[in-house]
Amino acid sequence: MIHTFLSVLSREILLFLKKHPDFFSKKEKAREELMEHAHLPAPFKKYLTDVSEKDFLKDLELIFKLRNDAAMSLKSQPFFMALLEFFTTLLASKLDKIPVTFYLDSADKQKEFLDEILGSDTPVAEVIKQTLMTYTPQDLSQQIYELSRRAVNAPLVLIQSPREIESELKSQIRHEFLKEYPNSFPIFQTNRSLIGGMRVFVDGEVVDHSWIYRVIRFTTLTTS
Amino acid sequence: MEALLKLGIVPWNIVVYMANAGFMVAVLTFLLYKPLFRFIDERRKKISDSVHAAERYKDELDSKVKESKEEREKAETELRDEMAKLHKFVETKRAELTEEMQAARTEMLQKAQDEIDRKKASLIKDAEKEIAALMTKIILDIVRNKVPESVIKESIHDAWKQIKKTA
Repeated sequence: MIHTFLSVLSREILLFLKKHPDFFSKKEKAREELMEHAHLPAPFKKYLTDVSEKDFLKDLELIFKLRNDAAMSLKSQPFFMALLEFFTTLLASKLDKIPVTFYLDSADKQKEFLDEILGSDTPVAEVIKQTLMTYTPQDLSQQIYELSRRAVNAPLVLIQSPREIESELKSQIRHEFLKEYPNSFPIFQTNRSLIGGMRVFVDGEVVDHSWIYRVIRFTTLTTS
Repeated sequence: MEALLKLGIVPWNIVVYMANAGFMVAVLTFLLYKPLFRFIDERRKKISDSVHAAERYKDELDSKVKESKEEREKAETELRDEMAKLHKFVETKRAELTEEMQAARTEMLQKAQDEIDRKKASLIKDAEKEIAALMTKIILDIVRNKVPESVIKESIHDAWKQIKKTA
């Protein structure tokens, strides 16, 4: 998923730079003005505004190398930080809006729904739509989490609930965890055995507010 | 004289009789009385000696009895002392044995009590586990099947609020 996205994204960036060959020689303000017309997500616009030509070429090299070198270090690489910001904020907010029933719908209905929530038909948006239709939220979450682990050593944040959490609450939860663990990507799971409440794992540590935990704790306390 | 004669007593006869009697006395004295007296004296002496011997023997016997009595008393005293020592030893041993038995008894009782306590605790724990399992089953059955969906969804929000508070 990430490689496809990176291919399309780098193609878009290169096409943009082809249109503006003197982009890197411009001042920051001029770059910002040019970026307003680019069909790129906000974190990448900011990245291109700030990056030097030399660093950009380095990052581009890294993007091409990434496909062949899965163990390559991504720590403190500006492009990947922008990529992570995109995944953990913009994409995550879209991902949270997808209901469970989405994957039971027909491809047309899925496309219709994604057009509605993404509201764009740029190549980057299209590849995102395609990715969301092809992969489950669990697969996407896992891949994004692995990227965040490699780039910023973000903790694994796993949130279990007995029913699908509403998108608004998911956004709130993401927001809170992003404040505490920048660039982390909370993974939401439905676990009906919890019965009620919520259970949160942060890198192996559990904060359990599930009903099943309370029932077991209650029965243990009353009999001991 | 005549009177004597009238009575048929002849005076010469009296003399003869008297001489005869004297003779008889003399003969008897020499032949009977002297040996008899000598025999009697010897016998008396013998008896006296025997009496003396008997007295001596009696004294010896008394002495022996006394000695024996002393020895017996001494032996009795020794025996009494020995008995007292033995009694004391027996008492000491009895006390030691009683103490050992008491300690063994206490230990056995303690072990038995420990075993009872352990068994009791195990039984109570098993019972508690069973009760806990049963309670869990009942509560879970109620919570799983009788709680409305809206309450479950609300619980997710409540849980998040609590997590935020405790964070």
